Amino acid sequence: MLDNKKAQVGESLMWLVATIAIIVILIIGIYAAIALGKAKEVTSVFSGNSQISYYYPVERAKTDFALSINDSNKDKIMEWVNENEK
Amino acid sequence: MNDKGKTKLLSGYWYIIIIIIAAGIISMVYLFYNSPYDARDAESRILSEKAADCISFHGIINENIFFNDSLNESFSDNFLSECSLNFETDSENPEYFIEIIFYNISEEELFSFSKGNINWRNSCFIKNEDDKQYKNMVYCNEMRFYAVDNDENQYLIKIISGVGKTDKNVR
Repeated sequence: MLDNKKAQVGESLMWLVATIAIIVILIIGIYAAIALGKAKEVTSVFSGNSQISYYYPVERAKTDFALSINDSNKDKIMEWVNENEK
Repeated sequence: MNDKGKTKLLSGYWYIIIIIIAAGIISMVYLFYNSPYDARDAESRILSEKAADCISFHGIINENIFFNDSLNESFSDNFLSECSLNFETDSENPEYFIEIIFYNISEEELFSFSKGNINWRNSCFIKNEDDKQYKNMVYCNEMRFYAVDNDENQYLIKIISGVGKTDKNVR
């Protein structure tokens, strides 16, 4: 009789723990959905977060075209243009 | 408890668990897809690129910009139509901002002009991404490039563009 009761308590406890585990996983999932939802962003390919290394930015192209016409003060120009990328 | 009662209790429990899991999954999907994509970075970058294309093509400055070695007021006044830009949105206040500054090679400002919501200019220089309020402010991009005019005079050009639209991009 005592063994039967013990088994019943054990089984109930198992279901209780399983229920708590399911609820905890769902709460974690909901928090993750909120965090991922807030982080949704469409970045430009040239933004600092971009992993694309082969992209040739417009300003670089324009600067290179202009330098091919007149490249005096080139170092100064490049320094000024690149100041923004810091 | 007999076996029949036990089975009834368990099936009731399973119904409740299934409902909880379904509600959890529905809320996760809703919370994720209900948040808008923040496209202001890409949008302000595109705005800068469009303006840059209008100002300088293949490194040579648009000849309509100058009038007797200074800024052609007609070009700056009609900048949006000259460059095929449209700042009109559903909201009452302009949601875009652009400023174009010309410097000489000594980095002295020659002239500048701006269009759109000029009040946002100062917000562009507040860059504290840890601040929660930062996301609710205008998103700005700065572009710098070098160009020459038809007489090969050198100019340094800075374009600052900003996009508001916080209600559509941030929640």
